[in-house]
Amino acid sequence: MTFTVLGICPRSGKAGFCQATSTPAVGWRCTEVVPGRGVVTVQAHGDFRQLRLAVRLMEFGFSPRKVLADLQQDDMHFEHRQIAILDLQGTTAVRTGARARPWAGEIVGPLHVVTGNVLAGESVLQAMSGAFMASESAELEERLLLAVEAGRDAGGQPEGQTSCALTVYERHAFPIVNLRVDVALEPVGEMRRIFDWFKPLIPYYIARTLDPTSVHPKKAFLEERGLPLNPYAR
Amino acid sequence: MTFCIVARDSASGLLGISQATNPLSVGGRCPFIRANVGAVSTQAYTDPGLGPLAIELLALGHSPQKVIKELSESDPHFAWRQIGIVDRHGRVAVHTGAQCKVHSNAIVGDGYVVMGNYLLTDQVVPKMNAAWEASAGLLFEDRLMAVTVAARDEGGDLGGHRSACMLVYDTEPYARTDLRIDFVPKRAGQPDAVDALQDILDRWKPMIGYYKERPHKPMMPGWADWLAAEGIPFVD
Repeated sequence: MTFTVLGICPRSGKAGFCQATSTPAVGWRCTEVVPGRGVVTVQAHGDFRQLRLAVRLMEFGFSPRKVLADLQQDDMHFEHRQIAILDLQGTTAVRTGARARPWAGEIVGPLHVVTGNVLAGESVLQAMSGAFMASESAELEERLLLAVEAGRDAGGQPEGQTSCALTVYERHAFPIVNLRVDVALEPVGEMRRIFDWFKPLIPYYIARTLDPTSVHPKKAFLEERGLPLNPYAR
Repeated sequence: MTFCIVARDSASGLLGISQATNPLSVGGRCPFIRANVGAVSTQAYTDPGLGPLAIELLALGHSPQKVIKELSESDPHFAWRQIGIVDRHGRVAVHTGAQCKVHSNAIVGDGYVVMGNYLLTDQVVPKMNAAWEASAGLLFEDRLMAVTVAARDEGGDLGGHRSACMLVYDTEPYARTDLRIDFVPKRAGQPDAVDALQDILDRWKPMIGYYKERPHKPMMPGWADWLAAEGIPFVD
């Protein structure tokens, strides 16, 4: 009951994902970026333990197909999962279990994978993949969100969406974007609102993490640029 | 296009690798050792990432045999690799993929493996094996070197010997011997990378004891004074 895009950008070294779903707090439990390795999602009937195992295996250096095979060997509910793994070379392993609810499937494209289940139809994934590929000159975080917006606009899930998540890593061990809308009437629209507000803060938080003395407080940083202090400010 | 010995010294527990090849910087791509865990060389058309992965799997407690199986399930190009593993217990496993060029083979013994690919003759690896057996009782580094020289003397790598390396770990998390010859030009009748490795090993050997001690005793004499006091003054 989720639609997700996993993507990488060899130009910038970024890797990330964006997703939306009808259940709350999707960003908590289904999908992870593994710095230096790739991105993995264990969704449909996800299992946090399987996700942790996948992350650990990727950290070791196993290839996507091996991680998928090991998950299969160690999961009595494997057919309930929808799993996708994308490494930093663009290699993928994807499987939609037989018990993932319809419409369910995946598209593997250049530098990205889209997966979804309980969707209005295949057109949702086609729209996502198309939006990702059509935005090649944009930053990865923008491309990922554009893909999920396109999925929503193509019908998304029949019952609508409740939560949304957007995470991107660059060359550091910490994410440069990690935004979540855990419960909202229109979480993808909320994500767009907070992402557009957050965008100027991406370099700010990288700089602050690497050297706290290199930046002003966030309030001053935003005021200097004439930016609102939060996305809901009038 | 590389020959190699991966070995554990049964008396001391030292883990070591020595190898030579025709391209540059073999030491930067192929040998991986973690103290108290194991030693791995991944060569032929190598993916250096398989080295650290193998070390992680050995650290979990997997046997070298199981590690080879895990790597085979992970690597889509496994047929192109030659991989030798010796663990802290002296257990050994080796894989020579079908795509490795003639002559390619490996011999496994108690606590060691000698292996190579793209070799001049099918006698290179047997000669390495014989050199290992004949050198029993020598310093571990000298045994590794003897094997490497024996391979080269039998013709070694079909493409010549431009780089060579030797890596030996004791129980510390850093190497006790870490020597690399990254490039020696290929010129008939001139010394090659194996000769250069032999030369640097001969100079390094007396200092092994010094650098074992000094991390824990930084106030001890400088290396040149220490060597002089040992009666083996350093000569440039």
